[in-house]
Amino acid sequence: MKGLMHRIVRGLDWFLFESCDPRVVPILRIGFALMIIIQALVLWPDAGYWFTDSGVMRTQTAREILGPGSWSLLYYLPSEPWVVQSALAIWIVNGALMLVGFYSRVQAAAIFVWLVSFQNRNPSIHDGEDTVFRIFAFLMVWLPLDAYWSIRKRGESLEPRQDSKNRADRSVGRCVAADAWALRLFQVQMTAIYASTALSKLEGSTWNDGTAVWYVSRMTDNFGRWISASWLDQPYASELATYGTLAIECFLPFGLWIPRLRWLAICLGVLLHLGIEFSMNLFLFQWVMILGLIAFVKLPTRVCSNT
Amino acid sequence: MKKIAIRIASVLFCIGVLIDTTPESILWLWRTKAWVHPVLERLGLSQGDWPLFAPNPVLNNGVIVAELSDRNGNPATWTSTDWEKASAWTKFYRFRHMNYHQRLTNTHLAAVDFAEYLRLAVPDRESAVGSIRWSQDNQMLDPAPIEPPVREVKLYKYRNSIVLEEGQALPRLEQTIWSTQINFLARSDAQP
Repeated sequence: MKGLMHRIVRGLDWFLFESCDPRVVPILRIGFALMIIIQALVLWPDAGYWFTDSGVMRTQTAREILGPGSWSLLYYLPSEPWVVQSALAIWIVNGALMLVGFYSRVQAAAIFVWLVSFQNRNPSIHDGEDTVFRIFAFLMVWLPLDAYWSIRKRGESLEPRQDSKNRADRSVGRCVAADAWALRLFQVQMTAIYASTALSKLEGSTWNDGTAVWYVSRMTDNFGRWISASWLDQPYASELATYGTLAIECFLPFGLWIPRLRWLAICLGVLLHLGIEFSMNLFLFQWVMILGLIAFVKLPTRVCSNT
Repeated sequence: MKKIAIRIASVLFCIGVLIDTTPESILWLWRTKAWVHPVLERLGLSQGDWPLFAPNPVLNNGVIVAELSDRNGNPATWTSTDWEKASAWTKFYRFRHMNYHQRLTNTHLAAVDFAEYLRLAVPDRESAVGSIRWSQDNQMLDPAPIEPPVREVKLYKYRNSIVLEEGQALPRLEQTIWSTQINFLARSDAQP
């Protein structure tokens, strides 16, 4: 029993502390910060409209819709447009500081609080994309965000690390695999999304008879960005798109975890999201999902002749 | 000590996420989900399952329409953006508006607030178009300008759905027959 526990803990330690590539973290940081700034800028002109009592939803209504467990800083601040715009301004500053890598973990924590606060203040304008942003912000807090490409670590390059050098890397302030354990939580989160949607789709009659994407193409408010709905008029096109989507979403929860299949899974995932991005107007959802797939990337190790 | 805390927190996070994202159709997990979700909500980490166009896509095309009457009883109509005709750029920077109009049917409380907002916002902050009126002898009269305050607002969703007969093959885009269903959402009256 003791031996089994020891092996479980050893396996967990390998999973969390020894097998992630911390060099992808700055890519996550920069991509996330850019998108979070865009989010705030889009909300800015309608701050009073969405988030004050003189707008479309009163604070009391938001609380009734979400129940007693919800919280938001905006519940307690004065319900005035200038207050909301001030909060958005701080949010944008947090995003900008994260973008350049200035105490990014603190910025991530602040962004998480803002995201929860704004999403809970008006749940009617938010959707799954906002949930992904919120969870990612929370996970960012635990990543070594400023280890590379940040104003706090200027000149730091993405060089390979060997486990035997971990101690030395730490001593010079560099990042090692053990610091990037929260990447595993990103990976679990992404897997859960794909598995959940695949399981839900497997129950749907239109996903089983190959017509689901035809129906999606008739969602004319969202569909038809650069791919016309008429492209899916041919039954084989609709079936290909439907079964292709279903196959990729069923494959990703497994493929992303199998080292030999990981790159294939990441490429298929990116293709899926780009396909949706080109055909539908869903704001930043596809881009934040692509960002999440980057958490699975292991960059190739470069051989340095001078080491 | 730090390592132990990370181990425990990571395992708890993974278990919480996996339970919370399990589709609601998996009934045996229902009780556990009902317990886990509120805990995650308090932490700001709730998400629920991910039914992206599942189990079947739901057509949600259409516009929100508000029928108003002003202080003199003159009728007017407010209509939301017709998103089908909006440009890709408009759909991007006004995405929140599109999302809101599509989701307003889901929550009655939100619709009530929106009806109340329109009652107070027309004509200063929101523009509405005067409707044709009928005289007492049934003659058609030109629309009258709206005189605030607005007395009553009735909010509707004009939902466009596809007409499909049983056994019929899925029609081509230009042959698709659309029908409009009108769903009442909410009403707001001025206090006497």
